[in-house]
Amino acid sequence: MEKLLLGLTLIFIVTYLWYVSLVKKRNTALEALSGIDVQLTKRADLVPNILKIAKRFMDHEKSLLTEITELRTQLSHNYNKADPSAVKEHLVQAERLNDKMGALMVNVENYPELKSDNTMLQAMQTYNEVEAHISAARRFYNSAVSELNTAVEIFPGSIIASMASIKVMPFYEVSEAAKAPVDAAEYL
Amino acid sequence: MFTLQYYDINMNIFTFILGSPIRTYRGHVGLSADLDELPQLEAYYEEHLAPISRKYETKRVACLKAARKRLYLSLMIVLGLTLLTVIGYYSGVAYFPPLPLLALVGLSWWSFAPTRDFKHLVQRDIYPLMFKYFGDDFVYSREMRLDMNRLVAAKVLPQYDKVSFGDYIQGRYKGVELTVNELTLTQNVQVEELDASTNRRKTVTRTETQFSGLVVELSSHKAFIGHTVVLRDRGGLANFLSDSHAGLVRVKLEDPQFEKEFDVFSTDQVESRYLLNTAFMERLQELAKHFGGNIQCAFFRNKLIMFLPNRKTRFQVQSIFNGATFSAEFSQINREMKQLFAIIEVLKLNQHTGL
Repeated sequence: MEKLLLGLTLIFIVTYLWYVSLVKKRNTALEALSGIDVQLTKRADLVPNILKIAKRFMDHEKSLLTEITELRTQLSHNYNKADPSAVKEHLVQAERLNDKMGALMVNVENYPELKSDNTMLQAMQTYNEVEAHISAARRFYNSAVSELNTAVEIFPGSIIASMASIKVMPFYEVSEAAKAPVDAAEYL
Repeated sequence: MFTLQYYDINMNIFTFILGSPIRTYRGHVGLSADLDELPQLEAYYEEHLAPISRKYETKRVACLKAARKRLYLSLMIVLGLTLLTVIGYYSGVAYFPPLPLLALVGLSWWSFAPTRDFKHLVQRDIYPLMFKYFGDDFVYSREMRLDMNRLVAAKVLPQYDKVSFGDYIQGRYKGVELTVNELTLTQNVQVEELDASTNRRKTVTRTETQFSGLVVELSSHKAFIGHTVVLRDRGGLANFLSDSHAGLVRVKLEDPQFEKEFDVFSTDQVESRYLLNTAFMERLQELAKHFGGNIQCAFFRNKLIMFLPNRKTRFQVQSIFNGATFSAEFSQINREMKQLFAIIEVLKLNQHTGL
């Protein structure tokens, strides 16, 4: 009887520690996700300034500018951080805005006046800085998610995680457009 | 590397003691540097160092002559004291056996005081001139030193009891502020030893060197508010047992090779990754290879502080028995400074590329 009690106590302690570790990993991933949101908010605050400057010169890019405005608005909406699909959708939208902003930056090259505008140059420099921070936040998030997902998917973590409703979280992946190879000839 | 013929005036400590003649050296000056840099180095030497070196050669000869006079006088005193001790021993008159030995130590120190003074003079007057070769804002000093409180707060240095500073250099290279200071940290440790006479274990206090090398402070090309340290790999077991270092949390980076060589700890997980992006990690590894893998650094209070262990003094004055041309010192300083500038080049701290 004593041995059984000892065994049960040991199992309880190990299970509890495992549960603690899973919760810690989930919280780290959520903290990393908040880190991404902080950087995305910085970028969202910067986008209107860039659009205001761009509008003065880029008459032929109105659809792109409208698209960017819409994506920014969508991205500023609240979402459920505990719901992996909502997180995934949020990250996809963030990456879509990134793509569109990338396209805008490329198109700036076609407008020499805009390209040489000091305010625009400063805004672009700040934008690049924010992008570097987003990239760093993404690396932290993906590292945290990788640890969480591994712990959640491997037995017996999978059982404890399902009992505690801890789910795998989506990675923040770059868009297909960003992965595409660059053809230098197009720019030469 | 192209080296011109190096002079040799055939004097060393033994020939000096044995009375070899002390002559003024006015021979060939041999500077060594990369082939493309040599003309520039020689031009600077001819303009700024050659005129003053002639004056210092006279001083060097005077110092050596004074040292030899003192040495001979000291030897006579020591011999006299030894004789008196022997007489005292055999005649039963009061005597103090360690006296000749104590006199030898004290008088040796006194005998070589002129040579030490000469070296200090060179470091005070000639070295600052040599460092001006790298730019007008370069400063060399033996008195200035880095703020030890800041270095300790950077959380890279080991525990220590005593600190001693060496050469200090400050300047700006390609827009990057550079401060270099030689540093030695020692600690008294208690160790158990077996006493051969009593065959018992006893505790003795020993002074161990905890760090000896250069501390390089560089202005950072990126602004940051957190505190990030890059340490040599602590080993799998240490990392398994602890995920922190002096209150900083471990940062696991994606590069497996980098993770093998270093452990990173920070107060800000995002900022540490912003500073240590993949390009910077690669550059740091390249730099570590150059310094035998012994590099550690901290991003702290808007500076990148690097700790480069090295047992030898990097900016040492050459032997006083060589002529006071200062060409060997100048060549060595140039080589050492080029290595430090290479850190800025390799880490691309002068380029605002966003990487």
